[in-house]
Amino acid sequence: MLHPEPWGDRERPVCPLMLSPSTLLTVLAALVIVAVVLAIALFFIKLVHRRRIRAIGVRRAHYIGALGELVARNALPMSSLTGWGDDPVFLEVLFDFLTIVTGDERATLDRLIERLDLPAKLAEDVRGSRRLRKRLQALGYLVEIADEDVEDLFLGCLDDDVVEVRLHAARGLARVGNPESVGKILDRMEHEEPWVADRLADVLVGYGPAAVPALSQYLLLSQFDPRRDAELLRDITRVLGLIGDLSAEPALLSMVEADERLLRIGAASALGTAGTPASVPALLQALEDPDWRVRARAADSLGVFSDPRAIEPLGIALRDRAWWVRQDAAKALANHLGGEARLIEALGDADPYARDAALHQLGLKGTVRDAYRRIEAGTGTELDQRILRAALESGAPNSAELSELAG
Amino acid sequence: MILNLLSILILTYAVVIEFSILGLGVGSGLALRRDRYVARFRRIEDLLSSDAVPPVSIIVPAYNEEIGITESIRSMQMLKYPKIEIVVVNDGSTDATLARLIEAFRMVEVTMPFRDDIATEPITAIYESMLPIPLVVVDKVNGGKADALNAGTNVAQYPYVLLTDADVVMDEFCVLRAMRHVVEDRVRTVAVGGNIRPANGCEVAFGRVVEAKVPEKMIERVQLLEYLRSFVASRPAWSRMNALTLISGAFGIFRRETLAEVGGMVPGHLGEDLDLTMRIHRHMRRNKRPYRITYAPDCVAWTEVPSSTPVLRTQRIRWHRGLLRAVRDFRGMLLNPRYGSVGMVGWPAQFFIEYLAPIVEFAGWFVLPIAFLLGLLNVAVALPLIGIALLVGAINSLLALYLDEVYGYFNSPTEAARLIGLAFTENFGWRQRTVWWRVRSMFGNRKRQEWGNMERVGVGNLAGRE
Repeated sequence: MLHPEPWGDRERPVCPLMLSPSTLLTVLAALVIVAVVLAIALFFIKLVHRRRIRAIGVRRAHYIGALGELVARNALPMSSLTGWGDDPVFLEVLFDFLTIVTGDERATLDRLIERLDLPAKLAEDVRGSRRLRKRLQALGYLVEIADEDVEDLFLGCLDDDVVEVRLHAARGLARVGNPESVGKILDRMEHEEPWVADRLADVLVGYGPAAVPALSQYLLLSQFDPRRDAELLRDITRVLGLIGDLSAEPALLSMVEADERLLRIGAASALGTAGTPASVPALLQALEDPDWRVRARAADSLGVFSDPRAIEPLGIALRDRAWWVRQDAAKALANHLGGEARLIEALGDADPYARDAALHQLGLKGTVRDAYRRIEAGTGTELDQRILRAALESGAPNSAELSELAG
Repeated sequence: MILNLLSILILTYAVVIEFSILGLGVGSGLALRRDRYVARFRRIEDLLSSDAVPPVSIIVPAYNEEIGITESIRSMQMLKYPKIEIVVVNDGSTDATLARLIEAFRMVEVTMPFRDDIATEPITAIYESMLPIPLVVVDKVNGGKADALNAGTNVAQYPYVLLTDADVVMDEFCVLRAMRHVVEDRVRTVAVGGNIRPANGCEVAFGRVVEAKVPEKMIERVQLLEYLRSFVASRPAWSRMNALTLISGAFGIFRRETLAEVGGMVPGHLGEDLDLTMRIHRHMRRNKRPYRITYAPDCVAWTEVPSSTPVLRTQRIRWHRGLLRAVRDFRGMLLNPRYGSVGMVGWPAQFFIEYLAPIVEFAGWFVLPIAFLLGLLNVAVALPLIGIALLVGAINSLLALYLDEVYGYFNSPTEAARLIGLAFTENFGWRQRTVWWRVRSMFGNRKRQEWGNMERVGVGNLAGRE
């Protein structure tokens, strides 16, 4: 549809876009206007943004000064504080302060929060605001000052459509710390996507030991229920490990023998922090698990207890076919009160992998270096010479460092 | 007649391409709005105390990086992330890179078995730090950047690897922000790209960019605008469509297992990051596995861009040669519905915008003047089309600057005016030069280039240099 005459009739469709020259000119003119308007608007947006940032900075500085003075004087102002509670900049500064102050200073701020009636205001925003941003912001702040009065609000929010609201609500419940709400969060976790369940599990750690009975019970009852999600149970073992309360031990011990690999891994790992020396036999059994991850976690956990019963099995684990197990066993021995001698003994092991693992840890621990230095200073013992000889003969880890030490 | 037809076709092509880019910009704006909204409320700090966040191995290839390598590692150590290890791969450096690392971090040689999932040049030694920092140094025979990254991936012990450069300066929450996408979709997310920005002119202290500034040099400023168009006004839209064809080599997190499945990076490829991203798409689509390759706009990493024409020319020619090879290697994916959004939209866009457009534009340099001189050009159509193409191009840049406003950088009147002015003026001179380099890359010596010859001054010294 191109025009045969280059300077001819300009009103006919002349290009593949089927636009006439006058239409093109109109488009061009419109684009010129758009581009110029955009450029000017952008320039002013940037300037306005800059002013806004500065204005917020000034307000922020004002509030920081005011709150700093209140905290220092341990007193509230006589004058009215009208408007402070409605200013998002003030709330931001106030809640920043809350994360860094303790004792009397915190008490002053708590009085200020009470005087400004912030819990009620924030709860009102959570309930009434249609703007999700405002709702979430209020909920986020409310979590920081949560008490029993707002527990019902959080429980209600636990079923909200918006995932962030549910997560905030769970954090609020953990802050309140009523163990009865643990069950509600666990129920929620069963219906959540894996990542949300993971985040809720993190929140459960916030309950501390108060959550352990409910979590242990859930774990014990669930192990016989094939419908339970193994990942969810693994998450709970993880939480128990992070809380580290010894009352979780029976539930975790029952998990070490579970059919599901994820549970055995989780339990072997958690027993390191939530177990007592009574867990050692179960961990020693886990050290022979067919799955290397369970063996590695068990070796790691055994390193915590310094139980003499663990030394020999850990020494044998130095010959494990999996590198991680050998390393974790060597690390456990290195942390073990009587483990260093076993590592030194392993330097003469027929298995080169066991020698490597032992020497690696002895190298990191500084045992080899110390032995060399003592020999160099003329105070070396026969044991020192054995260590150094074994290290040099192994031709394996740290050999370069040793060669350097040996000149 | 034919010349006129050709001229108008060339101009129409340019207009269509510019409008497509504008469409991408609008799409990116919508995607960014959603992402910002999500990021704002997802309390990224909460993830710091979570052990549900997968650990990450940061792979840092180093070839003759003695100037800035220790500062780079120190800045990476300060990243806020629950569990990381840093794997520095010394790719047969001829300077004192290895010695600097051994001295600064008390490295000792260890025997560490590693998976040889990806074939690489031989590893000669592995060092571990005696200090309480998770640092491993791999010393290997020279094989190029891709080979070094592959070796690092083999040695990496964690399930996700961050492939980066030694000179990249990352924001402290950068890795956490990128990994948020993995945390929220662990099954499908196989790769996450970061938002790369030029560090030139910025104030860098303690391994962090403390103040972002518009570079003084014109050549750096134009690159800043290019980066904004690419990373702010284009990738978010591609990411939403799961059609991201390029995760920049400066910052890309990959699932280690997926990297091993596709055989890692191809040594000697001049566009190894593009090639890797496309191979992951191809692999996942062919095997009908659910996957996502995502872009994290709030994960900001800063890198030094060329500040002299010869270096920039070499870089651009190298990039374009990489693209040419990728176009050849992945021609079967072009407009192939089997590859879904990437085959039908993402890869065709790369082909028509990045590969074909410079050729068409270059042809226009000759066809239009000849047609005009012979009196065959329909000027009444050609001139408005040229104007429209240039203006839409400028609007694209303005849109990128607008979308970038969320980061709050470059707000002083001078900086704003400079960048806005540049959106209009870059079309005269700069654009033609880039097109020429791209066309030139199709000819001449296409020999392997293992490491780009970027002149670096070290991340701590970026500000105030001239």
